[in-house]
Amino acid sequence: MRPRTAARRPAVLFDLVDDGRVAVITLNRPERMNAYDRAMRDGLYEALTAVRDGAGVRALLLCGNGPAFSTGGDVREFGSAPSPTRAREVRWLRDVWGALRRLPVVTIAAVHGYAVGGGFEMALLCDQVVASSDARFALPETSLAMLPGVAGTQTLPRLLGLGRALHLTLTGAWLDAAGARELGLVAKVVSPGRLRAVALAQARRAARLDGRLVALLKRAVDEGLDLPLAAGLALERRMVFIPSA
Amino acid sequence: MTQLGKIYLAPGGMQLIVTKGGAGVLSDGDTPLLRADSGEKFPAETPAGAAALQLGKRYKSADGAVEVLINKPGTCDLRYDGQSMEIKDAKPLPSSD
Repeated sequence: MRPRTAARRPAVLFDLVDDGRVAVITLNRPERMNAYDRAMRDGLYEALTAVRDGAGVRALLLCGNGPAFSTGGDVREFGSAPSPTRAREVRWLRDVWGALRRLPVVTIAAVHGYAVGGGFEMALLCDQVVASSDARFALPETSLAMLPGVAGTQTLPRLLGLGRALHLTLTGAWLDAAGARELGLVAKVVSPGRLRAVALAQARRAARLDGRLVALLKRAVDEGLDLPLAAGLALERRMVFIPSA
Repeated sequence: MTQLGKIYLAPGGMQLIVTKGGAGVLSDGDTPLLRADSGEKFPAETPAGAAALQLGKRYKSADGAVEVLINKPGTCDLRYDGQSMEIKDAKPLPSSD
């Protein structure tokens, strides 16, 4: 008999620590290696918009329960969208990845085990990635006749340049944690037993920064990337930060 | 007055932020919630409602005009102008894959 608790377990756990300054979002489908399904989509959207709208959160830690960070889209749901038009509409209505990318707080992914496809891409949408030494990254979508659909076609070239981004997306080549760090995709590699503590400590440090400063900095970097240098410099000059007294 | 963007406290430790404001009053049963920036505290022994409100959930007034987001879980019989607030469930959407 199927365990009854599995059916009721939330696909995403959401918690606040440090007096509400650090949000911890945990992908929670360990039996499916945190494959992303509708329940996870809805849970992530609810948690991310709560981080956005709830006053006081300064940093977000995104992590996964079980043997993997996330293996991306749940293949059991592939092909289940009612129609291509409806699929596109749903992605607009519940724009999980836009909500993550636009958060004005520091976002940190703590990655262990497999981070594959959409799992890899959701980590890339965070400001920083801390990985355990057992982490393995890949984008296998192309070989499965699909496009990476969690912003990987946009984040990877910005992080790595065109050549290396196309290599990873076209070949589906595997990266280990050290390789991902060498490429600059991962900020820090730690032993599996220390991953959560190190990533949480990093989030706590980030949460001590002035929230307005972080929001401005992220805006300058994010918007500036899409601008010619002169316009980016003008954007930076327009941003004035006055520390609280 | 339920003010947009303001944080309110309930006697049971629950805390919420107003995401759509209104002219009425938020309460835990008959006890009005306190604004976090008011510096006021509930008298000891103030009774708290029994319903457990979860972090990240949103509630709306009966007419949908006022909405709040729970940003600290706790127990509370959450009401707006004396009427129970309802959990605001996200519209069910199909898979987009």
